[in-house]
Amino acid sequence: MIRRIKPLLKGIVLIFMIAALLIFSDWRNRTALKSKGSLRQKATGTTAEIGRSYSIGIAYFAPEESFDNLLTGLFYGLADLGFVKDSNLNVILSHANGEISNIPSVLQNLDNQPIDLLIVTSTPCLTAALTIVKNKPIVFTYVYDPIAAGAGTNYNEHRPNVTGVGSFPPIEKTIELITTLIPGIRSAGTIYNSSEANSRKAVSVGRELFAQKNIALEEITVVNTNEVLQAIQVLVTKDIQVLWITGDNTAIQALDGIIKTADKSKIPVIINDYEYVSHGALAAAGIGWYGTGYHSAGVVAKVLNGANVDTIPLENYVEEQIVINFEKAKILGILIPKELKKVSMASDKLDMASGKNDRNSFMRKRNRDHKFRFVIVQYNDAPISELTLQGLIYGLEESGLLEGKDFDLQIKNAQGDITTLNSIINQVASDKYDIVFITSTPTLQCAIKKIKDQDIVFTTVADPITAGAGKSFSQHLPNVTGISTMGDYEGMAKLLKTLLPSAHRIGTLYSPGEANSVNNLETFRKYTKQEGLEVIATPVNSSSEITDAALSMCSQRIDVICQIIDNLTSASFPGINRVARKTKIPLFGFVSEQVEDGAILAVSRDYIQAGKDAARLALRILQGEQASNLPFEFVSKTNLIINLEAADYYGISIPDAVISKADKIIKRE
Amino acid sequence: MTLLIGSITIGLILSLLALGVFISFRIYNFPDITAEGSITLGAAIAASLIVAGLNPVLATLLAFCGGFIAGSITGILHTRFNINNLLAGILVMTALYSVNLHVMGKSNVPLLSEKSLITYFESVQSVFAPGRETVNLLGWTVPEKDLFVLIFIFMIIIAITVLLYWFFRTDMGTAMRATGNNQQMIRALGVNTKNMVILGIAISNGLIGLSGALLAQYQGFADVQMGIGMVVWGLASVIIGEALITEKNLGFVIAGAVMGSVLFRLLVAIALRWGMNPNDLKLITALFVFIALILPTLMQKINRKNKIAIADYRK
Repeated sequence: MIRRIKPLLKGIVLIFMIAALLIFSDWRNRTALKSKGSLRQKATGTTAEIGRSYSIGIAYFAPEESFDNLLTGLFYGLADLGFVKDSNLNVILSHANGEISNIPSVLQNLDNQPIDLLIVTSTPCLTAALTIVKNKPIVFTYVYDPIAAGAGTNYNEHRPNVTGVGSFPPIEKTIELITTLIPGIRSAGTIYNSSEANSRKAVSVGRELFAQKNIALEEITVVNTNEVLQAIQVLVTKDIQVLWITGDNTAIQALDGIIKTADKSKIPVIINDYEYVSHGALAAAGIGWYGTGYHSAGVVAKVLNGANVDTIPLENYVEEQIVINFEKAKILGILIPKELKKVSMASDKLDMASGKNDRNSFMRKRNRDHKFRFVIVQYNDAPISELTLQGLIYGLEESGLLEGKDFDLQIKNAQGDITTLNSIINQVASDKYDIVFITSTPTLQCAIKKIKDQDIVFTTVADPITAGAGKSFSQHLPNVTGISTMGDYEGMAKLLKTLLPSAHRIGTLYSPGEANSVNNLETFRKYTKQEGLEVIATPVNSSSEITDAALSMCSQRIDVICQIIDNLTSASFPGINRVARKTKIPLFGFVSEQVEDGAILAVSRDYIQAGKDAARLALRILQGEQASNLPFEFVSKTNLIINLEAADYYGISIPDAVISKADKIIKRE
Repeated sequence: MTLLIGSITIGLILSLLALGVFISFRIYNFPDITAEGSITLGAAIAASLIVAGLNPVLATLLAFCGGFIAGSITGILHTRFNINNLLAGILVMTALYSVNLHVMGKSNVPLLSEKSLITYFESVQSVFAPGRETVNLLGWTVPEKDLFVLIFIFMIIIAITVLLYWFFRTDMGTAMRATGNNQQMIRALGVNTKNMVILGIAISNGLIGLSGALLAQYQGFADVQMGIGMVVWGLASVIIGEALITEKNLGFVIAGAVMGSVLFRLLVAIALRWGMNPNDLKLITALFVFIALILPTLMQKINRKNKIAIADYRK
């Protein structure tokens, strides 16, 4: 017998091994079912019991922006009721990676964790939870229509072991909005994916309401995103006066295309997901998910305190949020009635608070558990970039934000490779950060090309104007602001003239591949010319060429080396220093560390300060200011650093007047 | 424990998908994408018929028929109209999307208070041990209803695999397998290979439809998008099964596909259970599958080395 099934043994053993592994990972929960009733015997209240800790599981379909808003609202609401995440409330989050076949496993896993209750969000998760979850009370939210999902026959008579908050989009309000914005409208159009239960329901409600107002509704259904463009092209030929897009996942994904085509025919677009108004829709009447989350917290708290879910009726809770894109209205020539102006919010104020749109929610979020997501993209590992980073973190922490607690800062470094830089920027562009920090000119150039919908704060960029970030320091790209660290070339030229009156030819290396390097060189030339000096520039393309390039520069009868700033030479400055020492040509620089490395003197922008300044700009954006209204700034501090040992080595005496101005002096040993 | 039972159950249900994929990809060498449509078709047919009040056994059988028809259409498109096999599958799969929407009338049919095969299995438990919900198994609390569902599903799968084994050993089944191996040879023997291809793809999709029907009843709903990506998982199961079982005997190969499917779901469950960053789930899954794939050959190599070492020692 055993001989006959021998070929199967390997598989059977492997299955048993993995099953055993799985079952032993569950060791602590092997009798979890017994704790079931214990919650329900407690007195019913809404706030947390002191000294008790709670634990909840949250199952969701896939990470999305509006879900994040909901979660923020939920955690804030719970915190207000005394359930503070990571303090007395343990939260297990799990999602199905957007695949329906993963939902049962996600739910089964959570069902067997030691949690007090399970929060399920989104319709497919709710429907699955109704059959699969057996041990834990279920509270749902982020569901359009719980009845359609199968949670009950009506809001009072629902299935046992489940309760929650539904949020049906305000269709009536939407249609009211449409008729107010476009008086006398006769026909409207819509596009949706007929396989999405949410849009079918929304459109069927909308269809009736439109009919009541004698407005014809042209519907086109699509199956996937690729068909949307074709559908909109057909729709605009049908003489519609407005296009309404409900919260249809498929249509929303293709919203940019829809709006582009509608714009050509001057058809205004009204949507339900106000998060997307900034993409060019005219207006939206939507659900403030933050509000839904906050409201759901009340139900969750009740259940955590032992209320029986069977007796809590289901609810429909919607915070209607009207958002208007005034800029678009101007373009389309649509007048916004005064009463609408009062209740609505301008789309350009959306960035800061996505749910409840007041300034308070920012402060709340900041104080509570919303973690800001920052990313800093750097071009290479040079001392400059390290100092800037250090300054940035100082700056953020000085304002009271703690790394790890209030914000996460991801550090990305292309390590000097432009193709890597491009992939990094692509990744950042496809992600969602609160602020994207950028250092160095090439990174900025890449970033402004690709990142349009996230706020960019740059620093350690010599000349943002030539990099293409704007026309002037005050007129620039709408989502970009930052700190310029253009070297103090004027100051340096003057200093050189006083220190070395006999010097005439100044040598420097520059990197032709870097826009900032070329630009710095030009600026330096301009100021040295005013002092009657000449700049001899030698190109260098990689750090391995540095020594050769420096030697060739020194052979050109130069009186002094004054190294301008770029990424390449600041990373390989010690090489230049060695050559300068060998040939005894005095060496000056623009980076303070270069003085410690052996340069005589540097007039340096303070890069730590550059980081701090960038942090300051970022905080202003987080507090609701628009990046477009924040002009570029020069770094707020310049340092003069002198190395007396090096001065002696090169035989240069530095006047006391200059020494007295120095911020830092490196003494002779 | 529920997670373990649950993932084995899903693994067994999806093993029908793996068997379907095995028939089309391995026996016929026919990359059949129809599966993504037919698994949803099976789910849709079963769910809407059950909601309409039809006996769940009958509904499940009709789901098999639905898949069977879908598969035969793919087969006909390929053999009679000379459409490339991949494209034929794509055409039918695309069409099935609309068909499924029509079958269900909407995108998602919940099966909550309906009587389904699964509730039948559960009700057997209440006859067997009325009032008891859990049973203590070596210190683990096991929900008894889930256990019964697992046992019944296991029996169904055993029955289907035995049936399949028997069928592929009849004259007709042998001719079908031979068609996949060497069309010219079998045509020379007077068999209509076109019909054999159609029948094979039909059976393959019938099994996949059956898998969809069981899945819908198990998870409590049918959804129009549930088929997306399924072919890949089915194929992964088949390949894991092949890696596990090197024997070419038909019976073993069928058992391998079933085991591959169970193993695959167990790996997903582990990735979930260890509470890793949810965004890494697929990465971890891929890693596990990779390990599962190389493990058997690795063990073989070690075995062989040991044997050689022993042989050397004896010399």
